[in-house]
Amino acid sequence: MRISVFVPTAALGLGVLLVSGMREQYAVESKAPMNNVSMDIPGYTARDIVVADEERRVAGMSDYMLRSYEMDSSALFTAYVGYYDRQVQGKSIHSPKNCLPGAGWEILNTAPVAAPSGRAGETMNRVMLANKGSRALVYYWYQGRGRIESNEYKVKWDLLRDAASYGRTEEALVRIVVPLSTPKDIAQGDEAVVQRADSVAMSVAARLIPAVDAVMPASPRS
Amino acid sequence: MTSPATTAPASSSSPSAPSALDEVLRDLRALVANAKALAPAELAAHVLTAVMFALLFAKPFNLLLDAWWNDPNSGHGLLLAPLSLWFAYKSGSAKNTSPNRALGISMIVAAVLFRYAADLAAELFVMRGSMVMALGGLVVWHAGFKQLLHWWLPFTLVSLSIPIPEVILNTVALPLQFTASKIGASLLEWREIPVMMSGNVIRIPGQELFVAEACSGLRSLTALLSLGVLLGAMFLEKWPTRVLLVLIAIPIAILINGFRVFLTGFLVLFVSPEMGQGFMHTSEGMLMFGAAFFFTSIAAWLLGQGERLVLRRPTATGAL
Repeated sequence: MRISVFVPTAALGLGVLLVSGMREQYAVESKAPMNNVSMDIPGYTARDIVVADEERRVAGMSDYMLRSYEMDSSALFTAYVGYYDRQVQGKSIHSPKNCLPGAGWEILNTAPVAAPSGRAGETMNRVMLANKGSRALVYYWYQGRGRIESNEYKVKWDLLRDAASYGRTEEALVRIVVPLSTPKDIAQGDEAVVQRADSVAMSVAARLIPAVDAVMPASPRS
Repeated sequence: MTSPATTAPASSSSPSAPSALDEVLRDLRALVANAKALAPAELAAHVLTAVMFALLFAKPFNLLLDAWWNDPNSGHGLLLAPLSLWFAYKSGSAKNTSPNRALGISMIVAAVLFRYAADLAAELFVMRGSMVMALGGLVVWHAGFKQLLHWWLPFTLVSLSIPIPEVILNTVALPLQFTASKIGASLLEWREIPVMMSGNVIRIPGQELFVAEACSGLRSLTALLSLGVLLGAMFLEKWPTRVLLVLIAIPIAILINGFRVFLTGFLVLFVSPEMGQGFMHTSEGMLMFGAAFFFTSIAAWLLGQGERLVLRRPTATGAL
């Protein structure tokens, strides 16, 4: 009998063992609801925004916070934290790079910037958007399991590694949107408007990162 | 591996010619007879391989079936999968093939690793693709790479029945979807319906269309590409004309998708807001596929006529 006839059986059988011995990915509750993400900024009024059920179903997050920060009744920026207690097929974080164009936003440029997290090597995505004359500056990053990351391929790789090592895939998509068309913006020059938006987004990120850290589950690597 | 098509009687015009079902049954009986003639160990190896394959890929297969059944943009898979089996059966075995063990087992092992990693990373496309890769690996192991090339059509159709991953969707299909949405919005404006458009999101009085689709795109693009490949293989002989047909299928898809946007907006506004939901989620995928099938068939026929003129041959059909 030629033993080689069993080689494909053995390869597929090993695959069955590998998959059946795979760690179950379990849902990890956050320490507190996302609406507890505390970010009081003096002089700003915060207003919670409700995401429609259909959009929430498509996005697939388990919990979220979407808040508009206003001054003198004009929205100066919005902050969003979408929490996924585990990521499985059909329920994982959608990249804003896919969703924003679908909602009518054209991506003018995108680049990673250092995150004000106090930890070396952590980056956020800085994206400039346009939509029929209006523009917006977006900072977004992936936060969870002890990391802040902007590179979507790196995020996927970490997801794979942590799922295999710890059976954990919980993560949050954090996004700050600064519109660039307020009356104050129009009065200033273009370069000054962008600089001001960057400064707003960076200072909000510096407050938001520890606030999200405070409600996220402890890192499995610690 | 048996070659059902090559052993079938050549004539089908004789009054006593067996029907297609008779031929299939006869070939199945031949297959069972061949299996019985195998050494017990070899038969056991084949059965065990089939069992392991079924166990390993049960999850992606179920997820794929679920997408074909429930997602109107992926519904064409229900048509393509049985068609692929039929084409594989009809084209049978390639001549002068020999097993390629090293390449075959490399493909199978790679498919197993992709299957494992994709499950961990919640990556649907890779998980589903690993199933087709393993199938290709088994063909190469048993019959060689030449056999895989011989079955290019069934393997291409099955691959195209897997919904597109978001990375490709973002760069290829999304701009096409925007064009389709613009056509739909223009048609609505032509009917004097006020329209506001932002990307994929179209607002008409009292309604917002396609919000849930803002993250998706023209997923049905694969349906149209599959159709182009299928009709090209059936009615055309030359690769350049086959490629041309696939390229022609893309503007057809955009135009029909644009009409779909218009029709949905029109029905939502003048018939019932619920009409959009039901219409969108159940029958539009199939309706669009039917219309695209018609127009792409006409394009295939015209290209076939062109080929016939250039090649000066009486017919260009049956070029599988």
